[in-house]
Amino acid sequence: MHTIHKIKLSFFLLLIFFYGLVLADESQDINISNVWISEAPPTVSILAAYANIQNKSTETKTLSSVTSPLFSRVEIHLSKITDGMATMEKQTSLTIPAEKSVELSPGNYHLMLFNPETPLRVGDKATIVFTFSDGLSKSVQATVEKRKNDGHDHHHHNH
Amino acid sequence: MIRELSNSKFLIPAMVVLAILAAGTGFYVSLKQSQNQLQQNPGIEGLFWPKPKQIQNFNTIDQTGNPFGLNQINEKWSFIFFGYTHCPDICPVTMSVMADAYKQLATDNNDLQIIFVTVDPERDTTEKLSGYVSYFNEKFIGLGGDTEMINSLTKQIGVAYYLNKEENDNYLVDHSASIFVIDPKARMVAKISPPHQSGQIVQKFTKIKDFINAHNTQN
Repeated sequence: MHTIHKIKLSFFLLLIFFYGLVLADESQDINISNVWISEAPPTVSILAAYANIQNKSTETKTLSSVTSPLFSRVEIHLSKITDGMATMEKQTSLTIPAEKSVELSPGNYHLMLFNPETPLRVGDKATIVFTFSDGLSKSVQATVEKRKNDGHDHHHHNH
Repeated sequence: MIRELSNSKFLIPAMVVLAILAAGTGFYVSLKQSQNQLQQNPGIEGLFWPKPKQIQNFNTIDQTGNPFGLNQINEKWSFIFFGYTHCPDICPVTMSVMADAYKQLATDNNDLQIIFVTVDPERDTTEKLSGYVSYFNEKFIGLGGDTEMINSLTKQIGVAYYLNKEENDNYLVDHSASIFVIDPKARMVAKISPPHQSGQIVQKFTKIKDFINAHNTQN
């Protein structure tokens, strides 16, 4: 009887321990989805990647660095068109406000991927690691896709 | 006087003459009006009318290594876009949209050519340009050469570009994001401004071409 109580107690403690782990798991604060790399001409050495970064926490999160084992370097950039001139601005970090999402999309914020180890074709996968200033790190799989024209509203073409 | 006239045997012929004159005047006025309309900008956004710029000779090298100048744009409709292949976002987005528009336009416009001009000729060699443009469409043309060659075109079109070379080896280039439309008489007739959308390009080009063709048949 005594041992059964002991087992029950330790089981209960273990449950609390795991529950605590889940609560403390900061990785739940950030959700990164729709991660894709746009396929580029074979002669190109700089690719672009896009994603949706959602901050589910009640605190501002700052994306401070992005890396990928397949690329020599990854930078965060913002495309801008001002008076017909296209420019790109390198971002040292990207702020994701509390309970908000930031969309990295064509013509807007995007990741610049330098010097792929091998040419990437549609369907290929690459790991991209997003690191935040609070130390949180998220590793996600990006898929190489062909560009769908006109950004999000590509359903325009279907009529 | 009126009675005299009304009795006159000339009344009917006079009325006929008057009617012809009136009809003629009316026709002339309406013809003049339609001609005037063609002289004026018909309200197509970005149309350089009534004074399109005449493109003079320029010297560039195409993606196959051949010289490309005024002769290659004469007798053709051309879309010209300036960019560089190290540009990962806006350039491929625009090229991809143009490829889509070209697919829709090509059957009815076999005299249409799509031209990508690099503003970074140092890094964009002939081979790089060839692989770059043919990825979007095998008929696309890529122009390079050296800075002087590129400037022989950018200066005429009136586009600025800036190489941010102080940053690092992987420098960025600021460049025009517009698509310039050149007609078969080598006149820069329109500028299509970003953001680009293939349906909008198709629609705009069709309007521009109809307008220029109507104007050409009037003269």
